[in-house]
Amino acid sequence: MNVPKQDFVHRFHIIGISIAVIMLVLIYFSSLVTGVDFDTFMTNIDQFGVILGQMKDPDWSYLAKMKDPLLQTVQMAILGTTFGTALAIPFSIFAARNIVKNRIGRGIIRIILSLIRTLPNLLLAALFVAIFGIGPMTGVITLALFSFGMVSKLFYEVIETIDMGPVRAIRATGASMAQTVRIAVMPQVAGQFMSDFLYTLEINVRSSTVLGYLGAGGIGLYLQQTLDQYDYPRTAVIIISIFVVVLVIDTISNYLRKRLQ
Amino acid sequence: MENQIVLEFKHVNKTYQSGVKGLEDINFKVNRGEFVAVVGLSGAGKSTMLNSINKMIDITDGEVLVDGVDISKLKGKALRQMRRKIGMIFQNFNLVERTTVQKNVLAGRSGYYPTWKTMLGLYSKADKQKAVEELDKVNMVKKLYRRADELSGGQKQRVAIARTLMQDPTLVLADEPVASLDPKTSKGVMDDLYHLKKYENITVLVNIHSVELALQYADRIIGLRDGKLVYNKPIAEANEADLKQIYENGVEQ
Ligand SMILES: Nc1ncnc2c1ncn2[C@@H]1O[C@H](COP(=O)(O)OP(=O)(O)OP(=O)(O)O)[C@@H](O)[C@H]1O
Ligand SMILES: [Mg+2]
Repeated sequence: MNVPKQDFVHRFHIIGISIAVIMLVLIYFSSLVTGVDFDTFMTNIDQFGVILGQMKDPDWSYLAKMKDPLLQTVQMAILGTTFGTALAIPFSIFAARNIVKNRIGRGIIRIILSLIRTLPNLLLAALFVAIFGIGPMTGVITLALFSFGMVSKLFYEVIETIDMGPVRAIRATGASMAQTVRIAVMPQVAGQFMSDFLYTLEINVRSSTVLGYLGAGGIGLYLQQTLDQYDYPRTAVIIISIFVVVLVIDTISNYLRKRLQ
Repeated sequence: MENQIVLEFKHVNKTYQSGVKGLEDINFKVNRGEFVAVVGLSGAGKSTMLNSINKMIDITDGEVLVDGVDISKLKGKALRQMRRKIGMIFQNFNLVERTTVQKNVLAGRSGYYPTWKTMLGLYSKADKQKAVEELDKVNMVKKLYRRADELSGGQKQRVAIARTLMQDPTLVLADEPVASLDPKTSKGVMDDLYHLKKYENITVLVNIHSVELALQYADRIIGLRDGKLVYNKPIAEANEADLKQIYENGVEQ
């Protein structure tokens, strides 16, 4: 039997090649516009070596003072992620196509969620520092809102992949929509929700370390101070301790997420 | 004994949005405690008919009377209370796979609970007791604390029957309940469904492809073809040749 011939477009990968060419052209033009200059990069790279040299003798005595701000950083991340996730659960249900048939209501919720997601973390922090003042509370609110935007989307995408058979069966027993979600939807998504929560927590631990830069609590404040004073031996201690904390949290979270699979 | 009508279709039509006529002017009555087999080719409208009895799909016009009430016009709480009386069994069992048999069976009772109790997973002691009793009727008590995904197909269907019994239904609808089971398991599940009629006086409507099983269990046989009711006879008058014809004269879609 003859192998059927593919048409011209598919046979020569016209679409793939076109996209690649367009991408290259776009990258070239955006580097022109933003003024990315390879020469400047090369001439300044030795500065990197200088600072690294000053960091090679970390001021370990500073470590004890870092304990509380580090702890605060992690606490901010945990609280922010928890509040954001808790709020995301009802919203993701209302945004899920297979649960809410009302297109308009769903559309409005989805628009709100994507608007929240367009706001970068640091912008949110700057905004909330202006509203709520300096302190870890502001960090928690920032992280909560950021997690809310991200987790809601992850959650409703999970909900949209569930098996609808049990949902129909529970609905048919005379259960209300809320009861049906609790009985037939939650058990199907709980594991993935937990995994998404942990993943968001990892991201938030990382971002909460820099929020202090804007006055939103945590270790970032100290990072800013030592850098402003060119106190690189202390900066080194901060960076190393952040690195260790992030690594520990990521490892625990990864382990738990594997267990959830 | 006086015949009491549990279910009645009056001039029921269902046209899907695609323009396909799922049901065309369907009329029939079912008495309490009857075991009715619904037969017909694939695409004849059997599932459409069954799903319009508990308003899982909306009919286009006509009336579907359950215990004298037109369910097709009900909404909200009134509809949910009506659905409590109507059990449903599916070809794919539709258990919540990641929870225990006990929770699956208790879920059949949720129409009787306020939402906040369900949210907290609270069920009364009496209902926990009832769950064990209903599981006992289908011989599945030993699996009470097992997860549903550990069960075989036949066992899952039995648990689904126990879940339906939790509703205290007057009417049970089964959409090809044994289509994915082997012959021996099929017989066991059909026996369980038959016991609902025999011991609990529950009316049972079963969509079924097997003519043998239909003749073996049913009190009455209803035949559909292309959305129309083409056959409706008590078992005493039904014969295999008639049934074969329902299948042969239709055009496979
Ligand atoms: N959601 C839907 N939208 C449009 N058409 C549908 C829909 N569901 C069913 N139909 C059509 O309605 C007709 C009856 O379908 P139905 O599922 O009731 O048949 P059935 O007798 O249950 O078939 P089977 O034995 O294969 O289960 C078919 O032509 C089918 O294609
Ligand atoms: Mg069907």
